[in-house]
Amino acid sequence: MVRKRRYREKVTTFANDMRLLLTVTAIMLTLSISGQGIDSLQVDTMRTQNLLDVTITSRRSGTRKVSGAVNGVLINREELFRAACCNLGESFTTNPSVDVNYSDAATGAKQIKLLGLSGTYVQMLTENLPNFRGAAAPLSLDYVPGPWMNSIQVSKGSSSVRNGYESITGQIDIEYLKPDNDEGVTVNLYGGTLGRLEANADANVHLDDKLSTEVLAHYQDDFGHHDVNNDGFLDQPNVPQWNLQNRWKWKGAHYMFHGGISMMKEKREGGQTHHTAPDTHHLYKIGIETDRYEGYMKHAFILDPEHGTNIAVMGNASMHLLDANYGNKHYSVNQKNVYAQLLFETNFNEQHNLSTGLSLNHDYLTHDERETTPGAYAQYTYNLNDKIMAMAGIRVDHSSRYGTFVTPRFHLKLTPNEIVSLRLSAGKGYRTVHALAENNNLLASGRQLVIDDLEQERAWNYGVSSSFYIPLFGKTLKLNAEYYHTHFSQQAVIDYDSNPNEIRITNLDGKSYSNTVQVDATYPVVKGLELTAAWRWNDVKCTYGGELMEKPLTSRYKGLVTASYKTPLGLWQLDATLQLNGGGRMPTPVDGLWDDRFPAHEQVSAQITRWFRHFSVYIGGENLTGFRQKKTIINAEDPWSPLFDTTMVWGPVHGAMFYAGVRVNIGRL
Amino acid sequence: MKKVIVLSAMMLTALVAMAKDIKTVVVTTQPQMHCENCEKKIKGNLRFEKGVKEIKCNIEEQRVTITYDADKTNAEAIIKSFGKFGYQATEIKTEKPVQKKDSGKKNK
Repeated sequence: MVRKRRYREKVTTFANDMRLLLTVTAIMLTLSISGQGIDSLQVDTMRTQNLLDVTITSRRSGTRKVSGAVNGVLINREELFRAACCNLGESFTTNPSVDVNYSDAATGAKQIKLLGLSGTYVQMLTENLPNFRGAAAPLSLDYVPGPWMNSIQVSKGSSSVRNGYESITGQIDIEYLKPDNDEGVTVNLYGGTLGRLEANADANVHLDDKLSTEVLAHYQDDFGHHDVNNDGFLDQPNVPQWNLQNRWKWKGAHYMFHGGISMMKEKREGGQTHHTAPDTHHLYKIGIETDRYEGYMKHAFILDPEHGTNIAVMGNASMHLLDANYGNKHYSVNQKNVYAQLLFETNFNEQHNLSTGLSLNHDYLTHDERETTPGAYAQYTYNLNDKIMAMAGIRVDHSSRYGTFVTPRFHLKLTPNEIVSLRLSAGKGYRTVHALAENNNLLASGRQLVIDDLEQERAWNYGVSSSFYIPLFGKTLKLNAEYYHTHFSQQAVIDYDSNPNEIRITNLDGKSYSNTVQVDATYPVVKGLELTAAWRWNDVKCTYGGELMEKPLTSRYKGLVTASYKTPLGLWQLDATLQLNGGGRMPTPVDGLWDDRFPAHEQVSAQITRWFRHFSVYIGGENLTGFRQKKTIINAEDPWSPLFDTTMVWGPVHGAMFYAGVRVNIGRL
Repeated sequence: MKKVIVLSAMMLTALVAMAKDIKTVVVTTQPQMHCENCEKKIKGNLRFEKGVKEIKCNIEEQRVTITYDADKTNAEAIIKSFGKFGYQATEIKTEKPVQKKDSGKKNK
């Protein structure tokens, strides 16, 4: 009887909510539809802490420092909900450390930069396994739908040797929603004024108390056909994408299984829509078709729970089919990757931890471009009551292309009291370059793309970072200051400067380094309102044609101010972010077609969110000041000439954009 | 002068009309709260109940303190609402409920 009443109540509130939802949706549809994820029930509001007789109610922060020796930040769902995180690339709007820029003005590809360096030096992981390698890298930020993500961990500087030798400037690990989360279904609808529609859903079910499964689905369509600057080229390509993932988890007392499969299909169509000058040639079209299949699994055997002793076997495999056309240039690849890892971990006691393991990686792009790399690592961590934490790791790998190499890494964290903590790190990283696969968008340039016989990239990274938790007017001011230095002893340099007729990817001959200094502060000004301000200086230089020069298309500095306000019960949330991107050097101008430097520019975004019991609604805007790079394509009127170039992009390619979205929860309480 | 009196009278009437009867109810739950997730579930659901102004959870003392607008809801309705998300609440009557008059419109 009670159950029946409960059910009736549930149905009544759900029906009321649905009525309201339909009204809101109708309003939104007139706007053009939209949507990005707000989880009405997973969003936590205020956190209450009871210390003796004093009750402290504070707003839960959307990010937190990772407690280990590595300098890492965990971005949780609450933080992701602060902006329109349609995909991974849009998830760093409020993050001071990670920059996201367009790679070019034709493919819609975005790339991240960490410590002022290209995203290729950041190791991408999903579920703590390396992913999105080679040909998958250029567009990978679009392959992870925002609402699928549970959290993102960004680690700066040299990382643990556990996940391989590849991370040079850091690691980004994406954790998807878990099958063993609360059961239910969430549907998200999104629409934006630039002509983007998106629908995605996640659903999970607990088959018994140990076994659970989850399905994640996504569809998007960019159909804007926008050409704001009237250069005859679409500002962004039209991109229909289908994405599907199924995950399973089995959790017992001494054994755990986690695995899944996914598939993604995407078709990008961009390029010229009409001639802007008398032309006898046909239109310059860009088409990129991608089919991607992935599978992964993890088996963990817990041998001694008291000492955290366990053995884990894990691995993933992927097949990435890419077929790209840039005008009359064509690139296609069927890339296959397999990765397997065997791990053993144990705590001898509270102070001493050992982690050791074996790994095997195989990449196949073409018969001449394949590599098999077996490796082994050992990592020892000493922890003295969380006051001193030292982590030393070493790994040895043998590449079928480059032979045997050693990767040492060291981290130290000192926490003398609750106010200060200091981290030091030093480590080496290596990377095999798949030059054409990783940079095939450079084919959308009239210059000739020349690729030399490339060496394996090698770099050292050193970092020092300090965190302060300063009590101020009854609240805590979080202050971070850090300095990172990356020094390449070998690098694949993309050289625009030596020869105006070509883009050459060549081995470094001289110096290449990056220095970054970052200071950021977060303070809860009043109850529910949190302010973050950050500033970063980038000093990135590389040798081009024997001359040490500022790395092109890299901002000299970045400023960020974000404000987030939540009403006491968290039913309303207002977010605003101001980004200031400093100017920088452009590749050496040819025939005066562009300036030798690009200017500083701002970007403002804001979002309002309202949560209801069974759904939530949000509206927002990006690039609200409407600033955009006026001439994103060089010599657009003659795309078949050697001076045509789509890769000289340093700023936003479109003006202000508004969006709205709704997320509906079914079954989750 | 007449206008000022009329205006003051109107404002006073509006103020009285807006005045809220803010009360507090303290409950214990079944099943008990064990962790942050339990707190999250209770707060995440209770916040949508009409008239609820503030929720404080004390896991150690197994108490949930809810501040509400007595013109919009009552303690019984709030206690009943725990059933919607699988909990049963029982009022702790040892404490004298805090009662105060608040004339401003509070944020939800």
